[in-house]
Amino acid sequence: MPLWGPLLLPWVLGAVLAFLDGRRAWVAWLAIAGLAGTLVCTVLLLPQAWSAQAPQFVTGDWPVGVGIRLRADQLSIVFALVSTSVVLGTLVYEHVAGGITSRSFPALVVFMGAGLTGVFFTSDAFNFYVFFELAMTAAFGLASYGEKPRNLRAAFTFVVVNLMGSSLFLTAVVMLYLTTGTLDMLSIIAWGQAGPPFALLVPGTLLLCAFGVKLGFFPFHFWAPAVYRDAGPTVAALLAGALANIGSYGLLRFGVDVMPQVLAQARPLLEVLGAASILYGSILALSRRDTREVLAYASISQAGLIITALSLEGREGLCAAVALALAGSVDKTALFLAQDRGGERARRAYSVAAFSTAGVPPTAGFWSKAWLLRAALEQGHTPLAGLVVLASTLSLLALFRAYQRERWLREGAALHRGTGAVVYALSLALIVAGFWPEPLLRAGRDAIQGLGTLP
Amino acid sequence: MILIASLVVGLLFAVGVRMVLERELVRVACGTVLITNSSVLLILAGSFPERGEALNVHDGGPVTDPVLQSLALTAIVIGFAVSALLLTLVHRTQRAHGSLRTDRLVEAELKRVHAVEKEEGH
Repeated sequence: MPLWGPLLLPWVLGAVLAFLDGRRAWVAWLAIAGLAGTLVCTVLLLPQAWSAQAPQFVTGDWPVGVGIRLRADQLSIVFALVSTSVVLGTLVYEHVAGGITSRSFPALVVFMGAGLTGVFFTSDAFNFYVFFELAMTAAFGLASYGEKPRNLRAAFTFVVVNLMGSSLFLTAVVMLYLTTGTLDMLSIIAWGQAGPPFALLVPGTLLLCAFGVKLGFFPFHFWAPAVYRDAGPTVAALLAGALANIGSYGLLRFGVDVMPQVLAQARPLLEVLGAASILYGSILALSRRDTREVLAYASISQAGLIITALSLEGREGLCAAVALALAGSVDKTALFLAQDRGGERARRAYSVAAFSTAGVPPTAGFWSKAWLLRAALEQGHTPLAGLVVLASTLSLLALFRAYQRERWLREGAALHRGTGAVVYALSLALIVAGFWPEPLLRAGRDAIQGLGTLP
Repeated sequence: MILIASLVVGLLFAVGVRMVLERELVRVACGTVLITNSSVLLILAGSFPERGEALNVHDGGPVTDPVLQSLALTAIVIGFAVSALLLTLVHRTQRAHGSLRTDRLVEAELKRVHAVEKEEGH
């Protein structure tokens, strides 16, 4: 499978879909088929990414540095797989739940998928910005989906805050270019090994802020609760499940791979920010009444866990960060979709995803948290390990307080066979990963193995 | 030259942040446009030190870095699209709420939250 397959397919399809009326069933099925095709193309790239030479492609056959290099190593592939599956699941859910109400919805979702795949596959800092903006612009369009006044308010907040994040990111990329003289990530890595140790500190800080806004950890979290509460449930699932992956992937790619020196200097800061957002997220999740706000604060605490994992020295912590990001993405999607409906099926799916978020076995969330705990204890960060356990207990409490209060017995809004299948598939994935964690753990370990220059 | 450029970038960014904090949506939108444009100017300013004429190559003099110019062009296009999207959103918010003041929007939001809580109380 050539590398441009999963990039070009959703892009071309999105352009075609933009001219079609998305409220018709066949258009929605076309979009679903396209995203499924993208997923299959990405799966076909798996053996190549795990071979010695990661698949690579330079645009226009120019020499590297002039042409844009696209490259799919293990980290890119696992993030692309999980994000595309989540986006696909959400689109199927929205379609079978009762029809899409906006003409542009399928096109925007497919464009978001294209942007996400591009972000994960590119190996050029500015190209990263372009794909990032493609995904963000699609998300800006999606944020107001539903067209109610509350959706519009959520969209406005989301757009303004994330535009600031995008400007910071653009500035950081340009600073990287001005300092190192290249935009190609592999060349920046080579420059960083030889260059002065503090040269990339300013762009690194700006990148931390930009990805912090995307991922939503303390103190960049302020937009998340309002947006997740007031956007539609499917949109909230897309934003929390798929789009937040850009933040965790960006931190891993730029922090661990491109600028390991800056990450090493930022460790104490990350530790403080991570601990603060774990505490803040789990305590405020307990105090909220609205289920979606509870979920938003739980995702802030999850972001804190990822940051904490990044702050640990050595590879174990980084593997835990990958596993946390992947498991968290599926958890959040399942939670946001399940809380929208009433009835028996929704209750079951919600509890599985809530157990996974809190890290109760046998779920995917348990293994990622266990890995983080092991890494923290091996490094001698006992207080941090205590904090992780405390956060898990608090988020279990908060999620099940919401569970008790939620209007589960609401009439007429139960999950039917189609929507139930989507939510069940997500929850089942969490349980299967809990009973057979080898693929998840191996994905985390191999993804980090492919990166950079760490000891 | 580089001093003037950096002062202008800083000024644009500061004015943009100030306007984002205003209470009217159009001003907030204009503020974000200014911030986007301050980063575009920063990109262009990056190529100023070696700048002779725009693409003056014939007498061996300094040449503007074409990469930065193409980056600026891309950023302008993206910024333009997103600004258009933002203004559409302002327009639709105005139609839905009948107001452009953020305090009105907050009032509407609080009203909805209270209504939901009342419903749960019963």
